[in-house]
Amino acid sequence: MDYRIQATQQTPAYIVYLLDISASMNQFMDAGGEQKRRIDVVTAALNSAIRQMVFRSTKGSRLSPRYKLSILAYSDNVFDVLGGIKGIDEVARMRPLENIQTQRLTNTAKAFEVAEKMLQRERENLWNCPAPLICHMTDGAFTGEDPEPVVRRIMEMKMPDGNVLVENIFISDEILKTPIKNSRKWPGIMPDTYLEDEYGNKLKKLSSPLPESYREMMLETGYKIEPGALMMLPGTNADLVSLGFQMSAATPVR
Amino acid sequence: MFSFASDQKTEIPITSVYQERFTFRYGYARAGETQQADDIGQDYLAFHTEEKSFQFVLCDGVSLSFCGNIAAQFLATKLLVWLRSVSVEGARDEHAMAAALDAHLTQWVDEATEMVNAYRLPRALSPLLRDVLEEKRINGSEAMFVCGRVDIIDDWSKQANVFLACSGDLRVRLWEGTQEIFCLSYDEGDQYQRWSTKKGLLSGSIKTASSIGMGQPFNRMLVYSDGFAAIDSLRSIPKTERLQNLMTESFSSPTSDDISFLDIAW
Repeated sequence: MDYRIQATQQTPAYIVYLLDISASMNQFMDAGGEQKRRIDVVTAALNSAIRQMVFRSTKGSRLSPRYKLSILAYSDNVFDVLGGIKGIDEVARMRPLENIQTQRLTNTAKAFEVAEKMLQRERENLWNCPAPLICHMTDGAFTGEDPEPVVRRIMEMKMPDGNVLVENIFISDEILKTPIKNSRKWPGIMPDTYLEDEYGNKLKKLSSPLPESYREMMLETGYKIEPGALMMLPGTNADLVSLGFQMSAATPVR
Repeated sequence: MFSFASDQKTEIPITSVYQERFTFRYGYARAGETQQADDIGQDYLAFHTEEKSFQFVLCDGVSLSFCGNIAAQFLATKLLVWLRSVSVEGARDEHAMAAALDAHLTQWVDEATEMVNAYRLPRALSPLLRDVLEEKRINGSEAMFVCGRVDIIDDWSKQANVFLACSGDLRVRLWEGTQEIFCLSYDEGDQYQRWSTKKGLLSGSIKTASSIGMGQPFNRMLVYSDGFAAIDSLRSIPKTERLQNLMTESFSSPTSDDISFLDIAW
């Protein structure tokens, strides 16, 4: 129960990405000095995380499928971008994020319900694997039902490696009292960190504590996340959004 | 005279050889998933024995680097040639040997970098995988290693001079009879020690040891890669059948890794 099972070909890490594609994702945000649409920042960050997974999965010139992915884009409805659960070797041959179009609303509960069903179906296959992770990216309050009950149920799903992990990347202009100047030196959001956004505070409560094994991997890649941090990222700029997606792929690997 | 160099695509079961002055066992196996994919192993084991001398090298390619098998094979070949070129007298001086090895590990970088640059990747790779591998190529291929040399100096007492050098978390264990007297200690930091075709030694200097420095007699040595961690906790040296079973069992483990094993007694 300490998130130490290594991702291997036989025991791959399963990550479900839930991407909010509501209309507000067309708004612009800071991306290293220039302004880019939020959706473009997110797809670039997820592509970068996929690349990181490929980097961690090579053995010689072969790609060992140490990760399995689902990508669900949601608005009023939920779209399965990959068309099922795919190994990282398959994802590497696709261009899954090229044609993502923004829609209207933000039915977060519906998206988590689909993810919950996928986890339930896969649970037996994942029993000896690293605990699955749901990486949720959104830029605003939900519409429709409150997602809290379903997220709580997911966070209580027990696996031998530890409960299912939930990470939230919350894209927002202002969320912290003091802006983060350097994401590489940022300690992370702690349970007592004050967020200047009501929905941000809700998402904070729905974010798992960052496992120490993940934190160690992040330290190795130059980040300074401190013990006790939550799996929640304030996506105030492209750097932090990218950090959030890198965190999702920080499963220990063989 | 007996020489061995592992073919990185062929398993060698634990094999025993009896010679006049040395008795030794060795084995080589790729990780379970590597065998399934019929891919190249990342370990490289090579040794040579002639009359009163035994030289060996074991390299463990770092799979997250650019094709770790390249660094493993290159370095093992170079190290064995160097060990064979050293005189019996020269091998007695641990500090001089360490200094010479240190210099070689730097000198070999240019040639190794050229080889890595010239290495052709298979055609049928996805663009993303090819791109990632090309990024890795820039940082070079990496391998951990252990190498050494045993020289019998007295046939009657079987007294020997031994020199050992190591970088990384490979295992070296020494015995006098049935008593284990030394285990080249490795800690968490050792997993980052390695030799890079691009940068030479990384994360610290090489560890060396010698029979003269230890001041304690021993007549048996076990050297193996971390893929055979299953025998770490065994306090006595297993028989061949047990070793083979442990090797075979490891293939079905999710964390199965390449295994190289060498047991030398004199």
